[in-house]
Amino acid sequence: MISSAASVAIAFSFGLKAPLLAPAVFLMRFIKKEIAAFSYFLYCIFLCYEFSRAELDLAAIALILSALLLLEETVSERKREVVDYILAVSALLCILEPLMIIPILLISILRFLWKDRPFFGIFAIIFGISIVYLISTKNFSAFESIFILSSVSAFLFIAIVFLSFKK
Amino acid sequence: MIRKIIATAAIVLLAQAYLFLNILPAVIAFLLLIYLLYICLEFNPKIEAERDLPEKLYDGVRTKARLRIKNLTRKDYIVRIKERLPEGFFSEEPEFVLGRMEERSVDYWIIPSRGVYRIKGPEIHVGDIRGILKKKFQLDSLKEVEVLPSVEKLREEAKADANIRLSRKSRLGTPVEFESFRKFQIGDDSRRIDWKASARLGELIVREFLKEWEGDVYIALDVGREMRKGKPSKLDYAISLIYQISMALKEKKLGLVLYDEFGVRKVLRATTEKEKLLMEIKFPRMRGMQSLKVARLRIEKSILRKSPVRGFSLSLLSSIPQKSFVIFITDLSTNVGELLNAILQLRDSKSIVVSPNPILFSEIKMERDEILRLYKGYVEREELIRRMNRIVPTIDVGPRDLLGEIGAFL
Repeated sequence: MISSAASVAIAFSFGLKAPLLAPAVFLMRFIKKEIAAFSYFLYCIFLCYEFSRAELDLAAIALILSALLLLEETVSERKREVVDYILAVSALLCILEPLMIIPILLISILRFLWKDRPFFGIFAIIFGISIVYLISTKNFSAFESIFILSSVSAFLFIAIVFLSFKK
Repeated sequence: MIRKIIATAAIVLLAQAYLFLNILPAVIAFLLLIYLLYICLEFNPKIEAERDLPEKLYDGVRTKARLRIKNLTRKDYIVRIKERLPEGFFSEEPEFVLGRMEERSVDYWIIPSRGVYRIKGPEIHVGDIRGILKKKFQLDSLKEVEVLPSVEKLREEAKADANIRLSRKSRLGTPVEFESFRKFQIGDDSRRIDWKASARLGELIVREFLKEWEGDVYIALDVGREMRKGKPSKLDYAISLIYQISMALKEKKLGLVLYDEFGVRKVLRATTEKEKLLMEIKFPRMRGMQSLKVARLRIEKSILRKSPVRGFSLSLLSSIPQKSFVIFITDLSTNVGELLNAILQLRDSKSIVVSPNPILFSEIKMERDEILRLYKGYVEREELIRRMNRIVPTIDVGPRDLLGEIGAFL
């Protein structure tokens, strides 16, 4: 819900069309979660097809955060609270001031994390943020950044398969 | 499933990043995998559970089972209870969200089947709040339960059976208006004998009533191979039944439709010269044993299907005038679905099916090995007749049943 509002705000602020599909993806969860996940898959492809960047800027970070939040909101079964509605309205109002989208999205993600009471998962998040920070601050070329990300992703993939098998 | 979709999305996005040299899909893919890793690291459910089930259950009666479950972690989980019950049992599979450190009692119903069973503990499927990971817990309890017959259920079934009989009778209409007296004929319903008039005249006299329907009577006779097998065959029986019906109808017009496994062979319009109709049934007996195989009835499918099965059509039956009374005489060995289609097309007509039971007409010797086969066939046929009865009144008849036995319907 917050992510859908934020995506709409981003779409209007940066003149994009694909983020306007975010509310539809979110609504798919009421049909079936698997369908919603598949819609999310297509949404990501459309989004990345429309929005092309060689390095991370403000708009790209806003889109990435909204996309992540959209996935969480789509698959999670948690009940929504009043704060969520307030954040959604605030995100929509960011059409007027696009810079405010990022803090709102960060607050929303932190709220979800707070509800989750993570323990070991914190390390995964810190690791993820560090890698993204690294590629955005160091002056890597687009190919180098993609190569680093895909190499780390390969290890992550193996770790996920191993952990899933174990659990 | 969701985990697989997310992982696939990550791979496709990485490929897209390489193809278009776009950093955005690579970052999203990377963060999707971080998200999955986070969920895997955080998923470690621990629960305590106990199930209560009464020791004595009643056959077919909904019984409440209670599961007390406690979440021992500081996470929310989606819990689904799946009972591992003996065959014939049914149970609800409740699904709910179990909050952090929450203790909860969940009630759900079980419908047992008669007997004494040892029931294992249920499976408890615990999934993370996002439905991405799942873990199965097995309760190690083993409980012996006795499922007794339910008097209430037997009473209800008896009542339902009585209702079916009543509805059948009312659907066909019971003759109410007296018309005249006449001499008793073989096959007449003995309940219609007027004993006072019989005593006065010294012979059996029956009361005649006006029938509720006004149209002609048509008999749709199955003259297929199965009907012609045996000596006497089911067709022989059908002919004698038609003869009785024609006598009972007196001035009323009688029509005849002959069909077999390939479709309608002949349609003879309703006439008062009934003997001529009987002369048209010229089909030789077939050699061989009667098949006891019961045709499968897929009602939903056949009703929805617009065109009949290839090589079989009862579409000519639609030429029967509306508001007629149509008596189908068939052993229901083939094309039952199409027969029902044809019956449903006769919207304003009244229809009944008189079905010679192949088991009662068979010449199988009652030997030890044959009894089981006969019994199986009989049960299957009973089920078919029961299902047919939901749509059209169907009478199962044997070689000794004459018009008297089925007179209540006519």
